Formats: sequence, structure tokens, C-alpha cells
Amino acid sequence: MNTATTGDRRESDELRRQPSQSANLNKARLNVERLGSDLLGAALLFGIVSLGGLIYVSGGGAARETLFTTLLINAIVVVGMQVFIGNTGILSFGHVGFGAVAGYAFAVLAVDVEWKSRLIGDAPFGAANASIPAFGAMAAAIALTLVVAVIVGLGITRSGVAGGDIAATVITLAVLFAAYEIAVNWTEITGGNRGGISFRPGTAMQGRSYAYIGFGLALLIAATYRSSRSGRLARAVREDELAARSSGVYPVPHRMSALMLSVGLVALGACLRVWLVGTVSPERFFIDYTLLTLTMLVVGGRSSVTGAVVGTVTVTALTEITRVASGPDFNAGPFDAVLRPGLTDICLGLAMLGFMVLRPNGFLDDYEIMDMPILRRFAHRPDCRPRASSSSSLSIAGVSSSSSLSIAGASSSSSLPIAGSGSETSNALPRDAPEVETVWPTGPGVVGSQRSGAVENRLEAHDVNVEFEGLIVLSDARISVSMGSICGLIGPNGAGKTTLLNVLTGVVPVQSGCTRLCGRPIDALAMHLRARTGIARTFQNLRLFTNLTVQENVAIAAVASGVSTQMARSRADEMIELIELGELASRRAGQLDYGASKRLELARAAASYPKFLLLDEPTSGFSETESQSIVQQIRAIAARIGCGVLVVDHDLAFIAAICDEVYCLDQGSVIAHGSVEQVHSHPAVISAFIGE
Amino acid sequence: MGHAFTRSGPLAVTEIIQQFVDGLGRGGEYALIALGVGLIFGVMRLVNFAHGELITVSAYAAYGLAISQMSWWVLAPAIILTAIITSVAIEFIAFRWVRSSSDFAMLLTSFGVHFVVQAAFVMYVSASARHFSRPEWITTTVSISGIRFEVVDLSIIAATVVSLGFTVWVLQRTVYGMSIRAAAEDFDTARLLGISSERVIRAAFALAGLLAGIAALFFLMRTGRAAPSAGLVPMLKGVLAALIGGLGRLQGAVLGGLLLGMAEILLVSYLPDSIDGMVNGVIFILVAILFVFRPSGIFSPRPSQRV
Repeated sequence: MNTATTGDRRESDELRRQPSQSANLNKARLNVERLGSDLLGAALLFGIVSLGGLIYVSGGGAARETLFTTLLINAIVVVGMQVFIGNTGILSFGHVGFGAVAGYAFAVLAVDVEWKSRLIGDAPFGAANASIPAFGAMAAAIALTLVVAVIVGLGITRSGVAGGDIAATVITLAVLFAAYEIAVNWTEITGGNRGGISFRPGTAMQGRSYAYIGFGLALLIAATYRSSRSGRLARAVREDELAARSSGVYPVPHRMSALMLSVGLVALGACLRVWLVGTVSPERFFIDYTLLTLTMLVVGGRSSVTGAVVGTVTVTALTEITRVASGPDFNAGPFDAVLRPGLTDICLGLAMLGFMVLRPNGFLDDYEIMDMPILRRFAHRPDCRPRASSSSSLSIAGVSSSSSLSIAGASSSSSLPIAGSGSETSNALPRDAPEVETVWPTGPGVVGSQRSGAVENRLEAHDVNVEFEGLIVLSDARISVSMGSICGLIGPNGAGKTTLLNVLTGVVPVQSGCTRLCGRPIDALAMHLRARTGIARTFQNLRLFTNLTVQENVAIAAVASGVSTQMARSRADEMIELIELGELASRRAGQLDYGASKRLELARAAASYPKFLLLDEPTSGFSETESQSIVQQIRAIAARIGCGVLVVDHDLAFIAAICDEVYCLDQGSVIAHGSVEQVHSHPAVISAFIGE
Repeated sequence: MGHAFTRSGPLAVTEIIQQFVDGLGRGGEYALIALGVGLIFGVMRLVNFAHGELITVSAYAAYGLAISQMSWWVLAPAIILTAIITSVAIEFIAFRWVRSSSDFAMLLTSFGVHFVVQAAFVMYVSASARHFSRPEWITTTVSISGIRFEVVDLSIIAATVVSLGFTVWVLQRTVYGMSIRAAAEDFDTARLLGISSERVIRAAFALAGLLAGIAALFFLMRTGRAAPSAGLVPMLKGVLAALIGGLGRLQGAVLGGLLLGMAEILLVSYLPDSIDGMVNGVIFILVAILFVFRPSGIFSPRPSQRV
């Protein structure tokens, strides 16, 4: 990575923020406000549930009080599971297994020594003689569980594109069963299958305040994580791992942090559960509890913290009704065939089936109470939409004027680049005027990049060879793109064009030869690191984060490249204006039509301000008019950020309209290179396209 | 499955062979289950956690027949037939509705099916296990050149080989098999070409049911026990085996099953006494650790993905 250029870029980012003098202040305020809305939402949710509980409990009876406390504790566990399952999209059966680890560790540490000697007198590791206060025991149990989770997490988080999320899910199932088997068989410390470990009567949880505190904490953590940087990136990976990686997101740390927070909360809930009941046995943290908590999660909606709470309340009500109805005190009369033990499980199973078939995203889908407009207004949180905050509307104004300017420039002189892009940038930086053909207007950070420039400004592939199981896909392929120029890559189907793009972006490893960015070899860099050094791409078949909004799609790519959240937001607004999707910024990407989706992918790739933008068939499926308008948009974007563009396409008219130079690839080798006219009239190219 | 050998002393060749055969016998069962899991995954991208229910339902069918004094000659075909019918029925009742849903929804659907079936047995039979008599020959051994083999092990191995041969024949040589393979490659295209999705999926479930039925037969001969969650652990082992071998790769599923069986037999004989009961626990931990290093299984090649 060229540090000088990066430095310039950072500086230029700083400079671009200058117009609003109070940018830092704004940013700080923005974060406080966002936090404010999350806090308010969490508090509101907490208030509603607690109030409902108080009213229910005041109806009388210790049984009601215990039921409501159980509900709160289950809610801690379910909200904990939501943090991982909701944000990463990986189904986990193992969280209850982690709960078992915590529950046992808590009981072993917290039960007093004399009582413990009757149950597990010869517990190893000095556990038989250890007894610490409940809070200490809880903290130690959670810490121990987190250690276990880190080890398991390495397997879960790394099983990526290759294994699919299913591998991760099965690992979690193995965790659940392993925890159960150990609990049953390691009798020295767990007390085995029947007895388990119980507290001395009277030393179990007194008072219910712990459950309330835990529940509040769970809501707070889940709500904060949801709108944190890591939470957003985790959701981008959930939507499309390959696209996220090639936008510079490395999935492991985000999945891992979601797992840690999640397991921490589940462990807390498990400790409280053991403490409340006063006993722990293997069956308590096994498959039945997994079914219960998972049903709670999917009924409410796994993508939403609010949904987790709603699901917990709904399913608790359901199980309570079925428990009473199938109990011995209830005269079932003619319904005896249905109202009998086992009813609760069958209802949970049917509820799960019903929701998976009819409403797989639960009652609430991804609706959050934190997003209620009234809460946002109350916390003065700017809406996702561009124009809500003063700071971003300022940058929008600048951008929209610049984009219309650059498009006008582009359309008036199709072969020549755009005159002066971005009014604020040109104020901020001295820039080269586009006087001769070889000099392009430069982006904010790139001072005077020249088309015939030195290696510092080039993305190169040298004699690259790639072979798939004996099939030679690339053989000694050579290509070199310089910053500031738009370079085309054509060739018949199967020529290896996309593979070359995959090689440059790190999706496919080179078998021999090398790839360089600005003179430095990048062969060893993983996909996300290449993206961060400045190579961004689009895909032949759409790979958007379909459940995120248009704005989020673009902003996440910017966040992944390392800029602040606010900066990312304003860049997203800028790019969305350039591709003319401003109206649809808060729509989900999955709702866009094909053309808009293709353009959004372009904007997402550009949002990281890459040095090189690689476009894989940007016009496939486009009409002629659409192709013409995307020519202008690509030009506007390239001029805006001063990057080099490598574009693969079959539409030769499009290539001719947009490219300064063209490479033609056939059977894995470059057969021609030069200006559009030179390549078009090259005999080898003609024979490759038309045949001998 | 007994273990006649002792743990002390140097490893004799006979002991190694005995353990190998023992492992093959156990692994064959897992391979049969894993093959069914892999087959269904191939056609639907569904990891069927309800695959164990085929064993559970068969177990109750066997129990029902056994208490009416039927011989194992009646039980055996009944067990296999029950598994096939159950497999197709579960597809018809539940999975058909989530065919085009996300992996997440399909996984939880199969999880839900598992619970509904289990709870139904709790409600209408009993929560506790029911036992029935095992065939007399189950513990007999034969001696081949000085090495004693359990008959049941040898018959499982034979049955596994025959079933594998049959599966390969079906997949490679019959029209159904070809449509299953085509659908496993690209379901939508296969459909567009006029291959009936209903029939392909049903055929895959029937075949998976047959394989699970054969596994269930030997499992029940060894255990003679019907319980609401009888199929849970065999299912999990089968799924793990399929995963170890690389999901969707049928040869991988078989190898994964055999490997798991071998590992289990070795652990049974060499684990220290203090944690003797923890064979399954250790296996689950080992598999989880394995996936830290090989996230997509042992036998799966580097994925080539089109982007």
C-alpha cells in the first residue's frame, strides 16, 4: 500500500470535512444522539415489560412472581441469542450448551462448602473447598464460559464461504451435545444425571431485582451492539459474505464479537436461572430448553431485539396456558386426548413449524422499537435519509451540484474526461487541469496521477497462471491499469476475464505469476485486505446486501474501508446521488429493480474511495439507453474519486464509449492491447470473436 | 456391541483387525445415515435434523410388532418400510412448504418436526423407553482364522456395502438417479428442463428413508429399545459424518461415517476409565475442534465458486 497516497487521502478526507467547521462536534453529537435513541428504546422496552409484569404479579401469588422472574431470565437468554443469531444470521443450537457451562460453573463455585461436600465431595481443581459469593461466582462462571466460547468460536466464525453457515450450525449442535454428555458423565464435578448440584435450601436467589438488572443490561448491550460498527459489518457479512469480504470486511472479528457478547448474556441468564431454581442438572440446559428459547426467538423475529422480547412474552404465555391445561388439576373432559403431558412440547414444535412455513421472520421481522420515529425525534437522531441532518445535507448540496456538473462535462466531450469534479474538493486541493489526453482529473488524494505513470499508480498482473482441475483458465496473463484511466477487458466467453478480476481481488489465488498494486506485490493479501488497500469490485451476478437499505449498503463499504461512521454516511449520500438513487435511499436493496441494483453495486464499490474499481459486466442485461447513462455514472464516479477503472464487458459499443485502452483476452492470454480502434481491428481479436 | 479385547499388553494384529471390523460395523451405520442426510442436502440444501425420527418411528413400529409376538423376519422389513414411509410423509407434511425458504427456515423446520414427533410419542405412548427382545444371534461370534468377529458387525458391513452399491446404481444408472443428480447440481434448471421437482424430491427422501431404515434395523437389533428421542444421537452422528466428509458429497458422507465409527471404537477402548462414559462427549468435542482447522470438512476440495 502506498503510504504517501493514503496519507494524502486521509488528509483530503479531513479537508473535505473542513467546510463544516464543527464536523467533529457534529460527529460527537451524532453518536450521543444515536446512543440516546438506543437507550430510550431499550428503556421503553424495559419499562413496558416490567410494568406488564408488575400488573400481572400484583394479581397475586408467589407462582405468578416466579413465572415472571423466569420470563425475565429467559428474556436475557433469548436477547443474548439474538445478538449472535440476528446479527450474523448463523443458527446456533449451542448457546444453551454454553449456558450449561456457566450454570454448572456458577453452582460449583457458589454452593457453600459443607453442603457441597454432600453432593460432589471429591470435586477436582479444589472446587470442593471453594465457595465464593454469588456475584463473584457469576463473574467467574461467565469468564470461564467466554473462554470456552472463544475456542469454539474459532471454528464457528471461520467456517465461511466454503462450509456455509450450516457447518457452523452443526458445530453449535455438537457443542450442545458435548456439554450434555459431560454434564451427565463427569459426575465428580457435576453430580451426574439425577441429582445435579443444588443450593442449600434458603440460599437460592432472594428478591427479584437481579433478574430486572440482568434484563435491562441485556437490552442495553443488544441495542448498542445492533447500531455499532461491528454490528453493522456483521449484518453485511450475513447478507453476502463474498461481497462483504471484497468490500474490505473481514468477517471473523465481527462474528466473534457478536458471539462473545451473546454468550456473555446467555451465561448471565443461565447463572440467574440456576440461582432462581436453586439447582442445576443436565436436562435443564439441553434440547428442551434449546427448543423453548429458539422458538421464543423466531416467533418474535430473530433480526430484532424487540422481537426477541416479544417472542419471549408470547411463548411464555403459550407454555403457561398449555402447562395448566395439560396439568392434573385441569378437567380436560372431551379434550383429554389433546390435553395431556407433552402438550407444551408439541405446541412449541408446531409453533416453530408454523412460523417457519408462514412467517419465517417472526412477528416483527427486523422492526425495532428503537427506530420508532417518535423516539428518534425525542433523541434528535437524524433519520437514515440524507437530508435530515444539517451536516450531511451540506455535503449533499455540494455533491449534487458537482455530479450534475461532471455529467454535463462527460456528455459534452465523450472521450475527454470531466472538467473539475466536486466543487468542495477543488476548493480544498490544487488540482491539475485536464489539458492533454493523458492527464485525467484527479480525485481528492491523488495528485497528478498520469496515465503513462510510474508503477506507483498501477494495478498489475504479471504472467498470471490459473488452472482449475487441469483446465487452464489463465496462462501468462498480463495486464496493467493505471490510476485515472478507464481500461476495458474484452474477450469471448470463457476467455478468463472474470477469473482475472478474481485473481486481482484475491477470490482466486494465483498459481504462478504475481499481482501488484502500486508496485507492491499483493498476492499474499486476503480478499478483505486487498479491498482495504484500494481495490473494489462489482460482481457479474448481483451480490447486494438485500435486507439492508440502499444507504446502508453503500455506507458499510465506506465503514469497512476505515472511515468514521459519519464520514461513511456522507460518502454514501454522495455516491447515491451520483447513481441517481437518492429517492430510494431508505428502501431495502432487495426491493430495487435490476438496473438500480446494478448501479447500487457500483456505488457500493466506489464508496470506499478505492484506487481501482473493477467492474464485472456493468451493462449486462441493460438496454442501450441504460448503458449510455451508466457510462456517464461510471465516469462521474471515477472522476469524483480519481481511481482507475478496469471494466469487463461484452458490449463493445459500451467499451468503445468508455475506455481509454482495451485488453483482449482469449483462452487465458492477452492477445491484444491498445486503443479501442487498435484492438478492434487487430486480426487476432477478430478471429477470436468471429472464429477462423 | 461388546468389546472382547483387553486394553493391556502389546497390540496384537488380531486385536487391530477386530477393532477395525468393529469400527467398520459402527461406521457403516453412520455412513448409511450420513448418505441419506447428504442426499437430501444435495437436492434441497436442507440438513435434516428430523432424519433421526425415521429411526424413532421405526423403533416404535418394531416395538408394536414385537409385543404381538412377531419374529424378526417380520420386524426387519417392517422397520425398513416404516422408515421409507415416514421419510416421504415428513417431506409431504412439512418440508414441501419450505422448499424455497432460507437455510435458516429449513433447519428450524426440521428441528420442529423432530420435536413434534418426539412429543407425539410422549403424549400417546410414554415418556419412558419401551424395550423389546433382540434377535438371539445378535451376540454370537464367528471365528475366522483365529480372529473372532461379531456376526452383527459382519452383517452391517455386508448390508452397508450392498446398500452403497444399490445407491450408486440408482444414482448412476436409473432415470430417477440421474434426475436426482441433476437436481442436486442445479435444482431450478433441472425443473425448467421438465424434471418434476415433486418426484425428484420424493425419490430422494424415499432413498434416504431406505438407507436410514437399514441403519435403523441394525441399531434396533443392538439396542432393542424404543424411546421418544431414540433417533437423536444416531441422527447427530450421521449429520456430523456427512459434515466431516463435506456436505453434499456422497463419497464424503460414507468416508465420514466410517471415520466416525472408527474413532468411536478407538475411544471406547483407549479412553481412561475415569471418563469412560464420555465417548460421545469427546467425539463431539473432537469434531468441533476439527472444524476449527477444516471448516468445510476433511474430504471437501477447495470450493470453486462462481462469482
